[in-house]
Amino acid sequence: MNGIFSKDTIKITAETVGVTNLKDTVAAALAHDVEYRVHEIIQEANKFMRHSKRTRLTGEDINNALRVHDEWEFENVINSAMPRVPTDVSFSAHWIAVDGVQPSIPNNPVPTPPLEEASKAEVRKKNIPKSDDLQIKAGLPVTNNIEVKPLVQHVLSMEHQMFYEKVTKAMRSEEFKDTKTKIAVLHSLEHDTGLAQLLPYFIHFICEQIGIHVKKNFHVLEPMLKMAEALINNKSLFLEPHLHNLMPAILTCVVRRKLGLSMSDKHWSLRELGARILAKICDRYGGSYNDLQPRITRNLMSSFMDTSKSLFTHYGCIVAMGALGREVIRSILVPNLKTYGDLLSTYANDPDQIKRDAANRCYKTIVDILAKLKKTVDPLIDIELQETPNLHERLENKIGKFFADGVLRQIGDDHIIMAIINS
Amino acid sequence: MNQDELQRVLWPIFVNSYLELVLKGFPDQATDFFNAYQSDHVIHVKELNTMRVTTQPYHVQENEFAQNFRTRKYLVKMCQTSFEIFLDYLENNSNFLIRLVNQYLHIEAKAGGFGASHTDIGVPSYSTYELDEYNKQEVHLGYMPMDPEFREELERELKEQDGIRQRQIEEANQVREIENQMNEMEPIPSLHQEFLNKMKREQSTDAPDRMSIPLPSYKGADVLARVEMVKDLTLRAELDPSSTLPSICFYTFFNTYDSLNCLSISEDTTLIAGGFSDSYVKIYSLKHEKLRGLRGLINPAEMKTVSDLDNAKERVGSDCKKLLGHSGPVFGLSFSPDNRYIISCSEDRTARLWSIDSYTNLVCYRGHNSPVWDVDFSPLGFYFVTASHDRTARLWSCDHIYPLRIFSGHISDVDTVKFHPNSKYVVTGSSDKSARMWDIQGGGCVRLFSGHTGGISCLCISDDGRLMASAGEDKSIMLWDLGTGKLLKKMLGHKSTIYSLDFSKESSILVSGSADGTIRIWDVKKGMSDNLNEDEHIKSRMDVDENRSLLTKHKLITETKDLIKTYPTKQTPIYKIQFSRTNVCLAAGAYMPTEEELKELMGNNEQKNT
Repeated sequence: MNGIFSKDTIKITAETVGVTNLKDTVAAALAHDVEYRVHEIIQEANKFMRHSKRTRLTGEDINNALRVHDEWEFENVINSAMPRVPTDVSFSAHWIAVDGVQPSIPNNPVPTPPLEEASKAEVRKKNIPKSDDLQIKAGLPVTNNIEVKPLVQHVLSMEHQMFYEKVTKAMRSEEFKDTKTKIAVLHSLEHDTGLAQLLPYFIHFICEQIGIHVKKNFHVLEPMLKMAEALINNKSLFLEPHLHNLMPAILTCVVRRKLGLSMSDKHWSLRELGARILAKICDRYGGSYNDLQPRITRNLMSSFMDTSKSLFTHYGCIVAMGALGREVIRSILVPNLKTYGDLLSTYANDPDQIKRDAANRCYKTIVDILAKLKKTVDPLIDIELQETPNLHERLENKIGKFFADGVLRQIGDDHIIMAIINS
Repeated sequence: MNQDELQRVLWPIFVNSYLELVLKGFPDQATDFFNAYQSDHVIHVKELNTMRVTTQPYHVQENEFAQNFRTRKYLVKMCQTSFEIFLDYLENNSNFLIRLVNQYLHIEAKAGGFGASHTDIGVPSYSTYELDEYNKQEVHLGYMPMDPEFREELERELKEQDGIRQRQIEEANQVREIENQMNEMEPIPSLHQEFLNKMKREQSTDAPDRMSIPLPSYKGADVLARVEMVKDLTLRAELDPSSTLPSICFYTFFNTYDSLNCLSISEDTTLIAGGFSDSYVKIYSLKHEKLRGLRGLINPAEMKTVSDLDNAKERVGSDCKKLLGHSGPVFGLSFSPDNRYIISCSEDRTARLWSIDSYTNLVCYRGHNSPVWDVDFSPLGFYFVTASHDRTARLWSCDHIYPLRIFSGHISDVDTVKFHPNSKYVVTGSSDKSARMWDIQGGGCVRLFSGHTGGISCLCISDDGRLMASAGEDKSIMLWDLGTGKLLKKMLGHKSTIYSLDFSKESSILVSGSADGTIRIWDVKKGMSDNLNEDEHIKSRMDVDENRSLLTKHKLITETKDLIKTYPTKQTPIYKIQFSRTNVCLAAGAYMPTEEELKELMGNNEQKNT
């Protein structure tokens, strides 16, 4: 008979309280009794747990159980100090059902389609040929067997329609007083759980707006990109089926030569925002959508190396490649710098001030991006550095004199230079 | 068929054989026996665990479970043929078995058979005959008649209110006419008429004698409170299981760290109270109003008018009032029907009465010998009842510090207690898996409800006083007819212990809240019929239900067809669910952080501490 407690445990415990040479039979009997008592106390503690409406047993429950049995001295043994909590108890109210329907708000969990519904739908499908059979039996002509799909797969509820109206109106508005509304709308798009039904409409809205306004109205583009960003950030939404619509619109904002009619300086930051969103999409959906990132980089690459494209386009490509991460910088950007340096250096003495500034900006951004390679350094690099003479010469060979000068002047870190050379 | 019935004999024989071996001093043989046959009885996990550690004769003597099996006969129902087969088998076998069966089993054999009975799983209980006889005691379940004087004054007040409301409408319509607005305001229902309708509905032949429950004489405030109740009656949303489902408002409590034990919402839905492990009670306003306590001690003799009292109160007030007094975890709370008092009960073996006007402790009631699990105020006020670990429930009146009645009969903890709407009875639910109804005048038990396979943690009675629902650890809800004491149906669907139940005001819908973090709505009428044989009825329904079983990750969960809807929360067990007078459902619970969130919190705290 082996219980939880062995005879030896009992004997050792007995010795700690001064009882030596305990007999085997006594120890065995005690062992069983201890096990019984422990069980009894745990059962008692279970009652306290239940009345505290918990499913976890705590030290406090055991304490209370012992108090019921008037066994105070055990308290210290199991009195494990619980960490005290600074935040005070608070509560919030929300509707879990309105006239029997659970509203899709952040306070309620994301609805999972019940298995029943699915099976019911199946049953319905199976029933279709049966009814046809009846028709044949009844001698009626069978019109067709093609399943007619309704034009709209689901009908949007009144609340959803109103929400859509509100969102699109606020996001289109160019008035300053709507700034707060926009922030609220973006917050809602980022955190609300019940937007799945509206997603295709929002995507369509974003693409449409960008398409219309990219030529004329610069101010609409930023809210649209922010809206896209909010939807991407929303954890309860699944954007993959809509990416093929969304990507061209965002890419447009990044690499298009002219954004809007007048060229304000803001377009730089817009391209950067677009680049950040592209990187976010690749990060989130690249795993399940294998050729997503390669396709984007190929696109960026071809625009980047096209000498006929404007410097603004080039800038968009550069920030996008920078945002996509080290691997892209190493394998795409660095090998092409030598050629690109030749192109960029021709702008240095361009009579057009705007072009000179743009070239300058491109140049600085590239150098900044190169600095990001620092983290790829491996521990062996110091040894490699010692074994590599003529570091600067090799750098020049790799990326051309134009960029090599910039790198040496602004970064000057041997590790980065080594990383560039190794790319 | 026979095999199924005969298998039920195995469990009591197994338990008693094992206990016999232990008592006679053969612990090793007992353990061998236990290990050899325990796999046949896996549905009795809890009991098996107890048996495993019960290895010494004196354990058997003091163990509640063992004593139940040794002192009561275990009821087994079977049909005549099964019984004959069993007898045949016994005759050809050892005397020991015959003695055991004679001593500890009560077998009811019936020519027609009983069908699949569900009332005898693992509980040594009363025989069908005993139960039937017991539940034949006369009860008066009708509405408590109103005091004629009180009624007269109430009707006068209602008519007056109707007059005021009527004038207001006429004035409003005149204004509209002047402004050439066509649509007149809709006529509002007369309060007096509403009251008369209510009284008509409540007429019944089995109303209790009003004098059997002595009450202090009514005050002007009581009349006004009643007027408010009638007003709410006109605002009530009529619910219907097939068309109109209730709206449910959910209050989520955060940062409780497992210390919140119970919640209660006042009848007028202005306050919510929580009982904590740290031995205090907290009261919050649901209307975003500041709660104002007294600034200091007051002399009641100086308080002549309402404004005197108002002046003695705090100027600003606070969002939450903490009531200090108990010296152990608080397990139960109940507001008085006039919302001016609250009763709490605690592990410290006491119940305390608090005033909502001053947020101070008024009385401490001592009497129980063990932790007090639950408390309920009478719907008429003045009386309350407590349920305790000491296996008793006790009736108290607010003005006496000793109990008026002790309801003794349960053979384990009384976990929950509830007043009947007419205040003449209380019902109790216990860890002994049974529920009982007691007469508060005589103090005796008048009904016994046996059928649950786990402890009962919550009870509720419909407003008309005819139906009772009980639920608890066995995750099932049982619906009982209080008049006959018969089980009407069993509702399945919850995946964990059920903490709270309530009927809608017209008793057509039952709501339940559980540790599984869901609120479920049940159709009371569906699948319930008085004509059918109870057992047969359950069986046929269960057969149908098998088709509806949903295969979840690990186990098969059966849902009965009367489950209308399930509303999940974000990992928040539902502590309390109740209908307001206007039929809006209010539910509350404490958010339970996931293991990761908890670890993160612990981590943060440790950093702060170091």
